[in-house]
Amino acid sequence: MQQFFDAIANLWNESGIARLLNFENGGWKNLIMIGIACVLLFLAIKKQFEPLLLLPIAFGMLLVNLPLGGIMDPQQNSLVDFTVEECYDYMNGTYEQVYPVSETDWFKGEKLEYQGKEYVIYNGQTPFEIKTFVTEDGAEKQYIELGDTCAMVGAPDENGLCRVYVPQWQHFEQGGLLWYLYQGVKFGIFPPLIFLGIGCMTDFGPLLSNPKSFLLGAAAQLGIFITFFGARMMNLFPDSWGLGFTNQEAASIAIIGGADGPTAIYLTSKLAPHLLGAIAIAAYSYMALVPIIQPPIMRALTTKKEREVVMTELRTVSKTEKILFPILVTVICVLLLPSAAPLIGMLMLGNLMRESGVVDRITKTAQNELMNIVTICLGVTVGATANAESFLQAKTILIICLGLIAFSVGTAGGVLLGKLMYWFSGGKVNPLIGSAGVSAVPMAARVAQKEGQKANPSNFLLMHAMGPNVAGVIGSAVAAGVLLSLYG
Amino acid sequence: MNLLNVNAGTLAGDAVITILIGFTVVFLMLLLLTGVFKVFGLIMSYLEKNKAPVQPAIPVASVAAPIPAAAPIVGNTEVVSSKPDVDGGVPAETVAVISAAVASVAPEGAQYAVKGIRKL
Repeated sequence: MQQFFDAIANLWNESGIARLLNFENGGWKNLIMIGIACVLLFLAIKKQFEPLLLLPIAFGMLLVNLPLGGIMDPQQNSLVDFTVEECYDYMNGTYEQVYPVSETDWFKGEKLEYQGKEYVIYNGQTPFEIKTFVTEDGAEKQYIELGDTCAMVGAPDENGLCRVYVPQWQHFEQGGLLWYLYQGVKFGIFPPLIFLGIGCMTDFGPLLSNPKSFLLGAAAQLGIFITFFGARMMNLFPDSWGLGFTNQEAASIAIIGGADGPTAIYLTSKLAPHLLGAIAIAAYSYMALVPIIQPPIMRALTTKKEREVVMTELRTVSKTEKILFPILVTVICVLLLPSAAPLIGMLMLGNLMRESGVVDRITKTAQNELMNIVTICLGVTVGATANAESFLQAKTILIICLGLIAFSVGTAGGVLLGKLMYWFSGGKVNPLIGSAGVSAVPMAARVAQKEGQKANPSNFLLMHAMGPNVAGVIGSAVAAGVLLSLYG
Repeated sequence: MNLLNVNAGTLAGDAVITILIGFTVVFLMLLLLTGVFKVFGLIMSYLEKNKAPVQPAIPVASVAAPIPAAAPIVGNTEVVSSKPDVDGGVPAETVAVISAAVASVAPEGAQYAVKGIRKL
């Protein structure tokens, strides 16, 4: 009976619940993270805040904070010394090799003889007595004893030095499921694949019919750089407060202002992977909050007269232009900024596939099945990086605040350039379309449309706003390329 | 990293340099793209203006609804505005829908006129 109770007690002690309730060892942190994950799930499901990504992110966060699940444990590779018996079997050639063997060099030393015995010496240190092992087939092998293991002594080389090496077997401990999937994020594979799907879904016609929209897309990236400044200024606080950010961390936080989830994840995974969870959650939450964050800024920076401007109809863009566009953009951008190649290249590949009209099958796959698969893997693994240790810090709150600043300043930057274009064009450009330069496609364009219609019910700004909106995607990818080349 | 001894001026200076480099590069890159595609658009418009003359008007008879006087432009196909002969009792909205449907299946660049709409 006692054995039964002992077994139950052991099971309990090794369970996740016991670990969670072990507040002395930080179990309360996991509880808080589970709570945050549930809140994010609520926002994703009930409030529909970017559910396609926020739901897997939140669930990944939930999974990784359930103790002892090991779902995000890294693969462990270690080298284990042979025992003396294993060394004899190894020299005999009868060692049963379950795992690969590594012959790890220990040193190269010279042999010397003393009182009828051979020794090997390294760099004036204590010499090791060389022993001889006779194998089953009569061969002689030399080795030295090192306590619980042995080291093999090779034949002298041209300099008279003998290689002394330790046989070790490569112990391999399998990592968790999400750790393997996370390699797609770590090696920068998933975000460009998402950009491939985005390229397949994007119509750059409105941008081509009004190329000045590129400038609005550029102006909206102001938020990224201002936030970088703000993040670096946090280093003026005492170090003990833990609020400072390195250049890499500041760049990763700043890219939230680009309002582009895959770009933010791509850059953060390269520059500051330990902040990936917080940055991804901030980025996608703010993208969902575009209709709430942007309008007050748009109204504050424009007059009613400016908001009422009706823009002239966009010219029709030919198929040839739409086909040549992705090729030209890729060549120009990648030649000038090679670090932007993965993002810009895949975005434009997707767009070329769409516009060419001759690869319908793979276009459909890229924008449906492939994108959905990658979204699932990306979302759940990014969420799984948000463990209690990395997430529950003052820096996380700071990241969320700085992300809001990035977003807001980006919106303001686009609107301000829109105002400038309004003045220079003699009132032909509605400044509201500048706010769509943040690359939350198509939400930001819809917000511009809605605000325009509030000022003038007969105004239809959607297609005009789509130009800066899609230009913002290119702009944020270029900004990420710049930051990567500066701090990568 | 202990940055306690970095003075504000150095920190701000480095950050400002990053802002200047980064924003300038982004702006210049997109300015270049603006210029390239502006020129590109002008070239394409010029080439399209100098294309072979468009096909003559294709009359369409016996479509089952009337057309209003102002006709829509769909893509590169233009409906030549005219008042067709329409059966009575067919609403203007139906005429508009039929015009748009005809325009969507007509060849690109063609000009055509809907001459009449009859109830079958």
